[in-house]
Amino acid sequence: MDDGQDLMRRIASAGRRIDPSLSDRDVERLVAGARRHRERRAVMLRAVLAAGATAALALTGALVVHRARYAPEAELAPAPQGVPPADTKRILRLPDGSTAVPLDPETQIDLVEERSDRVMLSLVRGRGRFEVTPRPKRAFLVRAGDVTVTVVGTAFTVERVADRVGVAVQRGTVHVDWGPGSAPLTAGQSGWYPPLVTTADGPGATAKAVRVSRPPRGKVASSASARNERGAAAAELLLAADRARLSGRTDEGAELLRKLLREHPDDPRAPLAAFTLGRLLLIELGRPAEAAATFAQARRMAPAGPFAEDALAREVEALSKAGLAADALARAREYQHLYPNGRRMVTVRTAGGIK
Amino acid sequence: MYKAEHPQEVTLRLVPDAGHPPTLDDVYRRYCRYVGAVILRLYGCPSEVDDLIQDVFVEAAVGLTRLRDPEAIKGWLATIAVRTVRRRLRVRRAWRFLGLDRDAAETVLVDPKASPADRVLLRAVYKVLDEMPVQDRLAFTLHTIEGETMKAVAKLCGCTLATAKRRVARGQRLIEQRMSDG
Repeated sequence: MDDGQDLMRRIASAGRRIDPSLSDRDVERLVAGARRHRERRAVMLRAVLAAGATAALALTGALVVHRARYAPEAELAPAPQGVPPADTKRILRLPDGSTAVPLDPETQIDLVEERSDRVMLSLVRGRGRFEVTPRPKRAFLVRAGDVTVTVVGTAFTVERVADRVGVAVQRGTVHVDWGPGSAPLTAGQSGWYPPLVTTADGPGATAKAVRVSRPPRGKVASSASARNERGAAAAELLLAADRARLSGRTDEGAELLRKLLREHPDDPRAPLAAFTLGRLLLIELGRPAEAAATFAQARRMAPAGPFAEDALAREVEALSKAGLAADALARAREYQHLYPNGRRMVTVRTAGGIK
Repeated sequence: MYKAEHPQEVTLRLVPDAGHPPTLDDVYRRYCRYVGAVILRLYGCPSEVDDLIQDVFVEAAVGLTRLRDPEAIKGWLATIAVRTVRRRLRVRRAWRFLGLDRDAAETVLVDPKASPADRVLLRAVYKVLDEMPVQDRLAFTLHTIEGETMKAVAKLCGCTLATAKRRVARGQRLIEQRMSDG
């Protein structure tokens, strides 16, 4: 009993140390953000009221005309279906007729690049609906954090919630790329990206080609069938790890990934397995030191592969969470050197303690 | 009911001057740090604190003009903060159920002067809190970490005193059990 009370006293004492450490600058930033939010709500409210008034006027006019003419076939046009209310003043219209429609008052969509062969928009926050005019020679990209959606001609919605991005396709096909993997999405399909556990052979998903240094000739498997057999075993392990994770058996998933790395270190899926294991250890199992070592392993396996940048950024984060500040700083500097325009620069600088 | 021991709270008079009632920005500036600390203690994940503070003040903006007693603002903001965190915890739980939550193991932000033992203890406590039913978690955190009386916990959580006591006791039992398991 006394032990219990003592524990609660210790928790209360430690709890008083919890502090978001908001500086004056943070407070002013939040105040300004809240003001903008209120202004946007007011604009939205005015737009909704104006739209309501216009609709009421139109309806009244239509009824008057209808009654005057006694024409039974003169029915009102149906309201558009499936299009959420949008702030019409904030719709981004491109010269080719493509549009980006903010679906929430707080949505922010920026035009990053506009060239004849490439258009890039950035969904900074919130939800947006994109109607893209088909132009085969022009790539149309919507970037939301680490996820990039590439389209030719289609309509789709992108939504950001924390660090995850939801994509729903209404028409056509899009290609979703989250760095370590990518997947096509067709009309009627939707998904959240990046998936917490990426599989090389998951339905519709493919891991990017991973550059792996070739083992010495003498160690290369003697026959193609043996190679295929080993590849199938590695793929099976990766899928089993995915199934275990999705069923809530995180430890088992991690063990299967470790087994893959132990038994198939030369398999092209190994860097993906190492990266996935690192994420599991860091995010779900709370073992940042082990996660840092695993991310380092993923980089060693494919130093120029598609995971390298993300793995290094995650390594900095993991080292920081493990309390290894000096190592985190060293890796953060390495990131700065290797990826001066890296998309994880802000996170890396913060986690690495670079002022 | 609400203690004035939050060091982050700046001293800004909110008693309406003649013709100069406090604006929402004034309220925000004064209570931002207090609301942030309450949210962080209840929620645990520092990366979402900004977002939750905004949610609290957006909700507060709607009712502020109806609030007659400026002294009641702090308690009222705490109630909104508890409600906002409760909603977010439930969403997070649903996300975790779907395997989509990534912040469960995020480190709680503590004062740089906190000892390593305190940091380890808090990390372990918040790990257990992530398993706890949301209502028990809120009651436990408000009472044990935030230091509120049982009566205040009941008011903030919108339940009876007996229910608040039961929730806090359940939370304490789970923490004791898990921490003794090592």
